[in-house]
This record gives sequence, C-alpha cells and structure tokens, in this order.
Amino acid sequence: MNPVAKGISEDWLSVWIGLLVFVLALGVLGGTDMLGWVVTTSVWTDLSKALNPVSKAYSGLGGVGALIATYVALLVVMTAGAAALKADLKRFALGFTAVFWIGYLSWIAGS
Amino acid sequence: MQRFGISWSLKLTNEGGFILALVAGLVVGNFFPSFAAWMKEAVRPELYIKTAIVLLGGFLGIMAATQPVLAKSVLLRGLAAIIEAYLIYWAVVYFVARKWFGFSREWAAPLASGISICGVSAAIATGGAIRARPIVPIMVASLVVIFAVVELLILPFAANAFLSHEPMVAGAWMGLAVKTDGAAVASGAIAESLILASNAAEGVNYAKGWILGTAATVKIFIDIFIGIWAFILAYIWTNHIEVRAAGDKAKIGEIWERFPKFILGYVLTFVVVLVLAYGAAPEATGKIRAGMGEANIFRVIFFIMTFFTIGVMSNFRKLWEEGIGKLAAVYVVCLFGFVIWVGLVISWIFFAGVKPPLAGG
Repeated sequence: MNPVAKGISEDWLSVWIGLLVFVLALGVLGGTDMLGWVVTTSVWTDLSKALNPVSKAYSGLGGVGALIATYVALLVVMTAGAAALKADLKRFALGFTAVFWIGYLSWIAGS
Repeated sequence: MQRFGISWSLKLTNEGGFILALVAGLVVGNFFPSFAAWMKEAVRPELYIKTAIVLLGGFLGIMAATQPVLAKSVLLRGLAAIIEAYLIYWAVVYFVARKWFGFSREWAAPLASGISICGVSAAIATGGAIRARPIVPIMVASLVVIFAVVELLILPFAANAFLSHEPMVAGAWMGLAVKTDGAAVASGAIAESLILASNAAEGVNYAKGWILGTAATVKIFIDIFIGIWAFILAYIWTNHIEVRAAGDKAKIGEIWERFPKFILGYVLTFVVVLVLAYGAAPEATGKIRAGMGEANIFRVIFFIMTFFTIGVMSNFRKLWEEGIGKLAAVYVVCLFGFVIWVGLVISWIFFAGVKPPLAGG
C-alpha cells in the first residue's frame, strides 16, 4: 500500500520491532523483568479495576500509570521505526497517538 | 490459577474490544475523512500485524515445546492443506474472472491471488510479478481488506455454531478462508474464544491457543508461498504470455525480494523459544512462559491497532466511486461461492478428529 518505498520496508521494520520486544521479554530468563510494566486489561465490571501492570513487581505504577508507560514506550519505539521508514515523524507521532488511544479505549470498552 | 490464566492468556474473553476498535476505525474512515487523512501516516495495519505475528511466533513456540506431538501434526497437516488450497483456489478464481466476467489477464491474476492466497500482499506481489499497472493490485487489495472484515464478522460465529466439536477444523478453516493476515488470525482468535466457551459449557475444557495457533500456522504457510508463487507467475508471464527482451526474464533473486520478511522473524522467535523451552527444567519453562506472556500483551496491543487502522482504511464510498462493482462481484461469487466451502472441506479432511489438549493436561 506504500508504492513509494524509501528507507527500509515495513516488512523488515516489523521484524526488528518484534525481535526487540521478544529479546526484552526473554530478559526474565536472566532474572530481569523488563516489560512487567505493560498494561493489561481484565474483563471488568468495575472500571477502576480493569487496568493493571502485568507483573506484580510493577504494581506501584497502577493501571493508568501502566497504560501511560505502555503508550510512551510504544510511541518512542514506533516513531523510531517511522524514522527508519523515512515517514513524516510529527504526523506519524500524532497519528499514532490517535490510533493507540482510540484503539485502546475501544478495547477497554469492549472488554 | 485463574489469575495466572488471565495474566498470560490471549485475553480472548475481550474479543468484543477487537470488533469495537474495528467499528471505531470504520466510523473514522467513512464519516471523518479529514481526521482519517490527518492520522494517515500512522495508519499502517500491515506493519502492526506483522510485528504482532513476529511476537506470536514466540508464544506458539512455548506451546509447541509443551505439546510437541500435536504441534508436529498441526505443522504437517497445515502444509498439506495449503498446497491443496493454492492449486484449487487460484485456478478456479482465475477461470471465473476470465471466462464468466471477461477480465483481462492483468486483472484476473492479481484478483486470483488476492482472493485465493493471502489477500493484500499476494495481490501486490502478483501484480508486480506479471507487471500489471499499480492501480490493479491496489484496487484488489482494497477489496480484500473490506471483504476480510465481512468474513471476520461472520465466519468465526459460523465456526462456533457448526464446528464447536471439531475445534482444529475451525482453526484451519479460519486460516484458509479469511483473507489478510490480520483478519485471519483475528478470526482464529474470535473462533477460539467462542468455541472454548461452548465446550466449557458442556464440561470440556480445552487448552487455550490451539485454535488460534492452527489458524495462524495455516495462514503463515500460505504467506511463505507468496514469494514462490509470485516467482512462478513471473516466470510464466515473462516467458510465455508477454515475451520480452531476454534481459527482462524473472530471476531467482525476486523470490527473496518478494518474500515476506516478517515470516523470518516469526520463524526465529518460534525456533528460539522452542529450543530454549524444549526439555528445559519446569522452572525455566515457567520463566519463558512469563516472558512470552508479556510479549504477548504487546501482540494484543498491535492487534488492536491493526483492527482500528483496517477500519480507517476501508472507505466504502470512495471505492464505489472508482467503479469496482464488477470486481466486487467476482470477489463475492468466488469467496462465498467456493473459497469458504473448499477451505472448509480441506480443513475437515486434514484436521477432523484432531483435538486440542485439555486445559491443565
């Protein structure tokens, strides 16, 4: 869908981003829980209890804190990725923000 | 156990959120075109879904390591099933488009690949292989995305209604019949949650991940063959249909160029986890599982963004203005006329009687 391919392809970028998360996740083998802050959504009846960091080690963050941490981390990684694609970074960051929040709010609402 | 189950499961109980994200995307794409254009730079469903699939590899790896016999049987059956699907689907769609609807070869080939193989990337690769004008594969790809959404909203529920006692058939069916990586894997996810719930209501508790895993495996095998298929078509076209100057013939390097690279990432994470976890001490396996559980949450977030952005991209009105009614007609005839049913038959032949392991088993 991107006929004017500049920089690296989305195809390769997806591999690098996926592997980055994968390697960080394997950190638990070395005893380092590097991704425990990522937000999880439970099927909820009480909205205040719907969100939580996945790992108890990061429970101090709280659900909303975990959600924001997840957003910031993804924004940084994806914008770096967009730079590799030679995309318009400002537009990407703004667009990604909209995609993430609308998507995630839909997710929360549907859970 | 309940808590643990929730923390590393695929969160399939919240699949309603996927549909809502999709609907939100459709609303934005169709009623707020300026907002959709504003976020266009980040509307990259293929990027999101491919990243998610790389992560899925590790998750499936930990499952394969704990259930090696069944995993092997899924791989072999998946391979056999998709080869049949390729040969039957592609030839029939091409024939229907050419003979019944009078399309030129330039339109019929990308259409055949788009409907029968994997949708967007297949249509684009085929268009490139036979050197069609760029508009051709893009139009086909748009149709693929729209109808994948329609399938996504119907097929998993049909699978639950008719195949809840053959869960693996249902998984393979989703992988074979639903186009685009995102929608196929998502259909697998929805079918799984529905079917597991149906079986649980009858007192049978299957382990999670197997129906989704089967759908994803079948789909990924289909994807692996895009490069090979595009090469075969490129060869046929350059040598027999539009013979050009000698230097313009298809080269082996084109397989690599068109090969979907994210597949490499998927295979890598799958193999790494399989090697690490196979035969490892239960403690290490538990740690890998926890790590993959965390990676898997990112996968779900990438899924959500895929759903939303697919919705944003599906601008129904604009597509109609470009006059794709006839193209859509071929698509509907082929998809609902036989692609779905042949996929079902093939899934049944190769997967009937294979059951996922029971939870806790």
